[in-house]
Amino acid sequence: MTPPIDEHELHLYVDEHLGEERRHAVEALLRDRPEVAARVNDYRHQNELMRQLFNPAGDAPPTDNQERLLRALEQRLGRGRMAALWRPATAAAAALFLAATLGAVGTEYYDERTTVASEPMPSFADTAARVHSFYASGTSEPTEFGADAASKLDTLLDKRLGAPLRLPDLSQKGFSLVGGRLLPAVGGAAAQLLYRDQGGRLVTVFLGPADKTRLTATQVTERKDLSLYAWLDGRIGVAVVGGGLSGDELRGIAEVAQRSLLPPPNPARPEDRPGGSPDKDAHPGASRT
Amino acid sequence: MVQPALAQHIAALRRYARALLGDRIEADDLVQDCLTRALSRAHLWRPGTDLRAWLFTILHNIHINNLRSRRAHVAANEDLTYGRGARMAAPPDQDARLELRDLERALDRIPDEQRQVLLLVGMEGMSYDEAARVVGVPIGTIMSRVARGRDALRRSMMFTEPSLDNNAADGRVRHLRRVK
Repeated sequence: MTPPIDEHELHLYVDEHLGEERRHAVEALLRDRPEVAARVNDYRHQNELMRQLFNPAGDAPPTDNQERLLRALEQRLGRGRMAALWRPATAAAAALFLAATLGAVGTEYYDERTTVASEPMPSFADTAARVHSFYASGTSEPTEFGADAASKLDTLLDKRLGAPLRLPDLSQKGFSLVGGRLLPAVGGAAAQLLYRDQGGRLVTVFLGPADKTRLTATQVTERKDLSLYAWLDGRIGVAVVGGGLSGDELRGIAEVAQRSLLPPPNPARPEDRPGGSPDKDAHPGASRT
Repeated sequence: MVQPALAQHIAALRRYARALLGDRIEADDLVQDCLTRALSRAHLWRPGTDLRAWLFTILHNIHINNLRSRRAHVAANEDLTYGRGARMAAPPDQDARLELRDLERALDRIPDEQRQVLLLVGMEGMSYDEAARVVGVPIGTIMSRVARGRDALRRSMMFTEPSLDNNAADGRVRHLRRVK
């Protein structure tokens, strides 16, 4: 006499995980008990419906970024033992490699010859959000430059972005610079600056050439737990991105960033900045209270 | 060149993410975050072990974190079921569509943890053991979530739109529409 069928075995049967003997036992039970058979039939049908419902989502072509990540991942995993070289020591290089792979910057500033024609370029704001999320999701925070190299970043920003910008000073809002990185971009370079407050909250300021992007005016985005404030500073796009901050809070930070980015008075400055008096300049490093 | 196996896993991740979240953009973001993290942790994957389980575990953890931070931020003022509702990817014929919509709604109504497990086991065909590793709970918990989730779906589908079909004949409102 075989042991009686229990409820869990019915589910294992539905999912075809039962061995032959128990499968036969379940089938015998189902012949005797039509109401149980109807139930099992429904369970099976649920599985079938879920597949019908969601298979198209899996079969649809992956996004460009997914495709790129997929290829990079395939390479990494395929290298097997070589993957051991993937160490934190190479974090900075890895960060750049990842960013390029991610297409965060790469897509944005794609050379037109290599752009897939049918795919619209992601907006500047999208890129900034993407780069933010990418680094915010990691446990470690590989940065190219630490906070102490901030002055260097300052010069680099000038040189690489070709714009007389200063490092935003967010200390007024309780955020201090923890590092930054330069990212390759067609038409120059993009930079990401990372700030944290006492509570560990991360705000990034993303700067990059805006020529080929769709950023034309101040743009405010709030999605999920991410807020973003982007604007155009001459030819440079600037985005301030934060997670876990209210829209108002981020706007305040963006305004401070905007004021402190300003170089000495320059008459050819666009008007569309968020509030505040643009000429009330802050000297980099001079903390406000 | 993309290994077919990896590409298949990615398709499964996208299907799963879409089923979890409903919204295509949110789902694509989730998969992208998952791949990004997988790439940064590629050194942790041991060749020869279950790549699918590894990828699904990463995606699961990101999803859970997202849910947590959303709950923390949304607190009381907004809906927690963000991203729900635009789930259906393809419109089949009328009868089948109604049934698919019923299932979609029923899936929306069950707790996220039951939904995850039903999708992993029922849709992805994972063993209960693999699902247990992905979700990080004992296999017994998987079993009870499967049982509870399926019964909830079944009840939910029985009692939706009872007037649309005359399938209350034997006193039980049974869902008789079947996809050919």
